[in-house]
Amino acid sequence: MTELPERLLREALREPAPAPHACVDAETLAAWAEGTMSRAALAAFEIHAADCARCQALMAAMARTEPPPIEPAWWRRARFSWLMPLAAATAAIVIVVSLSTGERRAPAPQMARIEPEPAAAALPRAEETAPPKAAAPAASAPAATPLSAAPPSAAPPSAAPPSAAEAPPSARADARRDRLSAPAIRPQDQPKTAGGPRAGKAEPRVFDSTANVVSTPPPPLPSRPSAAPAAAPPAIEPAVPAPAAAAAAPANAETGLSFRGRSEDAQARKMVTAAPLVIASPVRDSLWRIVGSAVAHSEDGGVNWRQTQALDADVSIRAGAAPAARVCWLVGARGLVLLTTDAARWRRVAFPEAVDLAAIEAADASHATVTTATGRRFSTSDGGITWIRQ
Amino acid sequence: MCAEGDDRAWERFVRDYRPLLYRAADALDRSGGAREVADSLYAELYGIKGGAGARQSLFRYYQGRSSLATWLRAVLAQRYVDRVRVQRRTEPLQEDVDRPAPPPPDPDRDRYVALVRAALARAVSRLEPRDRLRLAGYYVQELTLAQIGRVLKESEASASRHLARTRRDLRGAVERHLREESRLTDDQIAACLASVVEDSGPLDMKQVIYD
Repeated sequence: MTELPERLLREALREPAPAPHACVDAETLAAWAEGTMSRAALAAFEIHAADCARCQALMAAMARTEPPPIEPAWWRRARFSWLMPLAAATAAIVIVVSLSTGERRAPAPQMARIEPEPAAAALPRAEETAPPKAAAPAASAPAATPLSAAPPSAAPPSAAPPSAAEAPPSARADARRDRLSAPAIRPQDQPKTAGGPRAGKAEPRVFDSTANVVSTPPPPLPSRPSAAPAAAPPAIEPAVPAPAAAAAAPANAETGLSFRGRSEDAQARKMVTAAPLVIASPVRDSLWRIVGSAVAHSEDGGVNWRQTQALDADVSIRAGAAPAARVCWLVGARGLVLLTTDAARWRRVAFPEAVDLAAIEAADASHATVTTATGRRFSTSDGGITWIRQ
Repeated sequence: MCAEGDDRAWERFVRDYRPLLYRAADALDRSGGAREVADSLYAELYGIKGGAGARQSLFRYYQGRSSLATWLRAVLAQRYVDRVRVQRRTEPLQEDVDRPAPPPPDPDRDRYVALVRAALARAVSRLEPRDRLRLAGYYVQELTLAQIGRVLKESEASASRHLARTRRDLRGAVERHLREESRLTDDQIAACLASVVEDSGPLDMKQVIYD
């Protein structure tokens, strides 16, 4: 036996000696229960209660009637408190990633796109291919809002496919790729602008590389009725029949073009290489056209084209930017960056990584920002001698 | 305002505090005895007209040293404890049905038990008040360690640790007293403790200690 029997202890403690002082009143007892007594008063009370059976019973009664402590929310409990900074850091990272993703998506409208190859005779004249800033107001229909001013979420409800912003990252990447390659699909059965000067002609899409605004009205969405209003912009239909495409595969939220699957996607990509890429410069009538590895320059709005220095046959141009009349940047696969400052000879600009480049924005022959296919951005301010990742 | 007889204040008081009082009463006595005490409090809280016709409410004793809810619990505890103590005094002693059958007569047993009682009473009286309070809370009031911790503003682990230490101290003090004051040998001390383990008998510590 290591301890005294409980029964003996209980009996020894049951009736202590009469306390020397009077028992506490309810006011004092309540103050004791709430811990608002002074230290001296508390010591006196404990000395009294140690010898007072009634006060011991009162203390026990107060202990039994004490309401249960309010449990803090589970995330405020001590065992979870250490998670709070971690959760905050995670939330911050998510926000930063989301914002950076949004920033990467932002320049999408600034990317030069491949224009449907128009027939030579159908090439618009200079006055028809109005300067970008003049063409934008001409598109009076809501659908003619420049892409840069129409975020994906602003697509009308008829844009059945989910917007890229709602899609998972992989889907967003696919959407980005689709957006880049979507113009490769040749226009088919283009609607005619009733009574317009360009009636019956293919509507080329011209890009303003300086204002970074696509001046061509965005293509209609697949689900848009073909019987568009007269003021509706010319529509570029996908290579596959629109109803079938809309039924078979989701359409790109921005371009409104849809692909049935990866095989058609690959086919479309193949067409991208063959389709011309037309780049406008801030200088009126200065246009660049890239077909395969051949780059031509026009100084009269596309009436006459002059071939520039021939590029390698295996060169794959994905995008370009022309910040001046004779200055043009081109980017392509495997880190290809080309620059001309005289509209004749091309200079291969060294790029730090052999990755596919998807877009480029240029301010002049020295300043440019390149976006890779994975969304990373590199900028140069010395004509491509040095690149800084953003 | 309740003390002044404002009916709206009284209605609000009843609405807000009656559940609290009933919960406290149920915690004290699940058989409903404490609810009677709680109900009887309302009359005093509402106020009883004295000889001069003025309302005398129990609220006049509330000075605000604590929250009203805690004060109400304290008043209820006072009333209930006093009632129970009065009932215990008037109730006849119950036979301890659980007590085992008395062992065969031992000529030294009564003396050993008396020695242990005396030694234990002295050891208890020499405890620190806080230790004595903790011990009484556990063995007499039958509070849990958590409740003892809340009463003495210490953690449950501290209460358990202090309780174990106090028991060891008591055991040591009793043995020391038996050895030094009563001049008992180790064998006799063991026999003393064995006696109280077998049957400590009806211990009236008030008589043992103070008479």
